[in-house]
Amino acid sequence: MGNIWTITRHTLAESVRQKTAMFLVIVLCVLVLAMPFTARGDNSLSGAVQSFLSYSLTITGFLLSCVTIFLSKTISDDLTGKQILMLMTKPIARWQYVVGKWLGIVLLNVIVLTLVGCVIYAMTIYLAGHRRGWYVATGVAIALAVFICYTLIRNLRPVQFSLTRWITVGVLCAIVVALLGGAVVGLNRYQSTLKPRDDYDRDRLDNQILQARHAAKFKAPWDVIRAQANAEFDKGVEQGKYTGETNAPAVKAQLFDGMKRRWRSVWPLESRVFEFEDVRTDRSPESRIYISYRLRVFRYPPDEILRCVWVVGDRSKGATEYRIPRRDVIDRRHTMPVPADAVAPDGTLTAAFVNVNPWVEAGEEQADNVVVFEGDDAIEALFSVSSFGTNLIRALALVVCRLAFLAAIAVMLTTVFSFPVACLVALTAYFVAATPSFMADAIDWMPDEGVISWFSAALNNVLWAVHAILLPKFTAYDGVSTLVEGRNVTLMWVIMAFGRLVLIQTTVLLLAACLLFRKREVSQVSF
Amino acid sequence: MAKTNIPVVQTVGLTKAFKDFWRRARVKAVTDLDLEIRPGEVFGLLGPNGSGKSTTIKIILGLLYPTRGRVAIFGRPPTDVAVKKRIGFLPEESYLYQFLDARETLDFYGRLFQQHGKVRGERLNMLLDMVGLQHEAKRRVGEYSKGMSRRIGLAQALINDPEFLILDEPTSGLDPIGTRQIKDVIRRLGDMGKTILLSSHLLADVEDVCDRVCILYGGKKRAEGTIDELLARDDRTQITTDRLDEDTVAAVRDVIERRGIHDIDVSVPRGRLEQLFLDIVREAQEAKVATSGVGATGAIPEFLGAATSDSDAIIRSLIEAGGVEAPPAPVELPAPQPVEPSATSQIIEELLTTKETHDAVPESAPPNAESKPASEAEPPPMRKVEADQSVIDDLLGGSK
Repeated sequence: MGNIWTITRHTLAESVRQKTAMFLVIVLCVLVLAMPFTARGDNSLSGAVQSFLSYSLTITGFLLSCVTIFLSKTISDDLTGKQILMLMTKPIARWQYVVGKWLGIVLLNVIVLTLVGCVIYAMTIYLAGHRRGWYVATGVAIALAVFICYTLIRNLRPVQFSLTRWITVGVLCAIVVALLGGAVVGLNRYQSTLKPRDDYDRDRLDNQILQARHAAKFKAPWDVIRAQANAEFDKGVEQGKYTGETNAPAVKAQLFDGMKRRWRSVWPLESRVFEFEDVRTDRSPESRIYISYRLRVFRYPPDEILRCVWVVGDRSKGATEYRIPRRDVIDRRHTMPVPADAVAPDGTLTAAFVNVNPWVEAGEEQADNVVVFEGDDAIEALFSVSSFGTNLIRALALVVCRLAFLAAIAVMLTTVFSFPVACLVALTAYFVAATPSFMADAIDWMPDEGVISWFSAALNNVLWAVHAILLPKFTAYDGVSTLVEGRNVTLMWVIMAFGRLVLIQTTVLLLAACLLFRKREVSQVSF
Repeated sequence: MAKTNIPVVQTVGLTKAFKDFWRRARVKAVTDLDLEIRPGEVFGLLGPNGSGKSTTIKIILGLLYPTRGRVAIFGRPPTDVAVKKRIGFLPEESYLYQFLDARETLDFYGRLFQQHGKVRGERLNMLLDMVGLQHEAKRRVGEYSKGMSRRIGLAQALINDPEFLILDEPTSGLDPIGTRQIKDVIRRLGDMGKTILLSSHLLADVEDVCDRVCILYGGKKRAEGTIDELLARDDRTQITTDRLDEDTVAAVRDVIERRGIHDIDVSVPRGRLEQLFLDIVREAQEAKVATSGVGATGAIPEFLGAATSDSDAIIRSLIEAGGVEAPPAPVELPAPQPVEPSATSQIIEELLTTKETHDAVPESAPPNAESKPASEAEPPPMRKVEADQSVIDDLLGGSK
């Protein structure tokens, strides 16, 4: 362990001395500080905050990924610069070296992410106009920055400061303070122009974005429907509709599908009741829960707006009932605030969708239309379970898991290849992992018929294995959009990401790296 | 040294072929090398450039893996991590981290030996003191001159108080004082019972400090033994007494001619290691031994302004100018001929090292001042210094 830590420290020192870390921190902080001026979203305050969060987190993730791959240069530097010759004649095992280097890269990422995370948090809170939170977050960010700088200087460069050095450092500090001050003044001016557009904007910002809301899925009555389908089939058999030759399971499945589709669609003057369980809220009429839904229709009305009524809350269960008339643009996701006392004391929430036009007498015409709730996330009940800060930390933890994995890929490649080759391969792996699964599609597309079918099948399996280990879908471990929508980045998600990306895939890669490095003759330089 | 029975390094049939991408053997760097380094000895590995010295050392250290054959270090495979606690290694160049300063460099390596803070700090100061870099310890290693980095390299090799020290060309890039210091360190460590493996081009260094040497050419062992064994002259006898007057000398001669006198210190005279080295290399080259290193060097190209001449002629003329007898024609082992310590070698030695003791001086050496023992013979007057250097280089196969 001691040796690993020595190498880790050394790698950190290297990145600090060679200004990689400094470059990163400065670029990221400048980007994050400049972002609010450019990312304005849809001219509402909530939109501005959302785009700030989204851009800054995405850019941070991307830049750190590139830097992580680049940082694996530390290994090829040791090999080409032959420092490895001295290192490997010391009592340090090869695996300790590999793991130490990996840990160093990951640790640098964690440090930078912590700092940038603080800055992002502070900026978000500031933009949202929560002054007190901003002071706290900025204080934390500055304290952290000072602590990191102090630790780095103290532990990694035990220099006796001379007068000139003090002056240089002082001047640099003054410049940094001036820059920060300028940014704050600029932001202040800017922030004064950034007022919530209206109450809705304010509510959206505070309750829908700067929150970590859990999305409860509706309790689908599929069991009941399946039973109905089976009964229907039995009836058909009795009536002689189905003979002994009919493929009973297939017909049953067909019937079930049809009835499911029927349940999902709401005909004119019909209503549909959705039930949610375990909705955790304080049930006070002042606090809000949110019902988020998307409507699809068979036939678009001319103004593409659907008029309908929601009845939320079941009086029979002790909840307050609310009738909410709506005009909703079709095929968009809508979020409807509902007072929290619509939730019954046992934590169930009932929401009934009624396909009628409440404005029909006011002359708002609406063609009779069938409304369809497609997919399991067609309607969700959202309620706050955690805070924005926790959510941000979890989203950043997901980023760390991805970076740990990337670092392992890069380290493994540099133990075998020269730096340019390793860098290119790692970058390719990153882009394939980060973009939606076209690689998986390509593998699926491989012909599985004809002369080469056996070959193709074998190749397919190999490619899948490689794909599964080397190229996980980063999009599946990206919490940014969830965070930006104010949804809860679940702890389970983070644990899953850690388990899959770090515990399994990173371990496999590091193991491979250690084995390859053990085999390697370190005094030979690879090309 | 407790385990004196186990050789510190033992190689059997060691072969290393460097292969290309298609696994074809490109270069055979070491062929069937059997070595045994015993505890407590200072072992010298000699050979022209590319003769496989560094490759051998790297295999012993587990930095390269042998193609065939076995290596054991302290009776263990070279990849064993525990073995490395007992080794100190100075590579042919000091490959240091440019972004660390001297103190941090030593601190870093000290940490790898799990040394605790205080011990590490003390050793660090002592080592910095020893190599004379105490005052430059805060400068980054990247700013150091080659000699200074060599010194740090030496310090890091000693940080764990190694039982076995491997020095690959330790004096390269060092000034005469540094060279002298390194030799002193080697000798002192040797006296303390440490085992030392030394590879060097500077034959004088090797001759001065090594107990045993092995001369490699083309990856093969050409000669091995103690310096005395290798340089023994079977066809000569050296008589050393106090200074005798001419009558006595005549009498002694007379007596010897008649034989039967016992009270005379009769010792085996020694030639110069350099001559032996040159002979071995020349012999190998004449026998067209395959080498992946430097082959026989040719004449200086005409465009460099040299009159076409073979190197022998140059040597002869230069040495004659130096006022001493010409070295004999290449000789065959194991019956070398008596030689004068060649003027060139002494001049070079004088330049590269501070004055060192020479164990024995052949009879025909120039007469010395009375106060000086024979072992501190003055070299002949220096002349043609620059030219001599190039000649030696030429002979050594461009080793500098």
